[in-house]
Amino acid sequence: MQASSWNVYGTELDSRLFIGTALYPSPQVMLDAIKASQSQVITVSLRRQTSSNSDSGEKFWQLIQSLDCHLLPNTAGCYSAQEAIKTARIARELFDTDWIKLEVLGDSYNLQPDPFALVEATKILIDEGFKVFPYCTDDLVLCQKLADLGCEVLMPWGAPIGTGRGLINPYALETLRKRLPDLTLLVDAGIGKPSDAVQAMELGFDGILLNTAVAEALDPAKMADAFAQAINAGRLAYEAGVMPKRDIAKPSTPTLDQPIWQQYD
Amino acid sequence: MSDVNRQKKIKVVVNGNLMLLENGVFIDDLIMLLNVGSQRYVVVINDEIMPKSMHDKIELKQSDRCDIISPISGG
Repeated sequence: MQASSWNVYGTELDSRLFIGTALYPSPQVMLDAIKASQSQVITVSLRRQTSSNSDSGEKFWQLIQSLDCHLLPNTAGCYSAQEAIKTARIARELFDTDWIKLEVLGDSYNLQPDPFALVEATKILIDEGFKVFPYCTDDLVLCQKLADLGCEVLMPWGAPIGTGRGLINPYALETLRKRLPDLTLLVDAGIGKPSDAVQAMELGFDGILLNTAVAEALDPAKMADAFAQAINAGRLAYEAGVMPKRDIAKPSTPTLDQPIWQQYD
Repeated sequence: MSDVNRQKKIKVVVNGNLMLLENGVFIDDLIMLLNVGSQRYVVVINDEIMPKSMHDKIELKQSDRCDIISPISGG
């Protein structure tokens, strides 16, 4: 069974997995993994032109064009609002989309987003007509501010980028889901294995954005397939309604009309 | 090189590298020189995006910082 489709800034999607295009051992492995993921949205970036490697320039452009996915450019590596805004404007021109994964980093050790610069950049970019997908921490007040500015989508981290540590603070993520019920929420960064993705989806997150967990797997295409199935399973579970936890055991087999010798054991 | 010829050249920083170009070179000429015309790129001069429609109208000037930006993989 396939989980329900969803809507991201007016675009209807079936897959709830956004996947990155970096770190794969070869272009063919990247293509195979993205196809196996069934993702309809891939993340890309931009840099000054150097020699045209397969992960940059025209060769890379041709490869991603062949996938026929929606492109979500990022502002990776920006450490100020101004830098991120400038990168977003160039990305819009380069990729011909007003979608932007807004990354403004505040710390180079754990690549933690700078919440203040993120809010500053978000405000300006939304005024300029961008559809902002902010990569943010799981701080509720920050997320509320981003929503107030007009973000329809928020992408809090599960853990720092590339660590594969899973959901470090499920309580904070669950709180976001409860307090921002109408917002589209994706966990972006920190997902290491499919069960991490299931956990996020069972909490009610709408989708997952990941890259390293697939690209650095021994078999990226197989891992991409595993994530696709896990994310679908997690969403189905959320839609089906997970039973509440209890402190006391409750028999699953009915005890009524049991043979008499069992009742008096 | 004579002094006259030297005056005809301008120094422009392209993708972080210093280039000596003829005075009167347009963005389109630079793109042709770099052999990237058929590719996906955006030209940024002194932090300002140059629309494609203006590439045959904007002339590079002494000390311009010119970046040719292309797609790369990203997460």
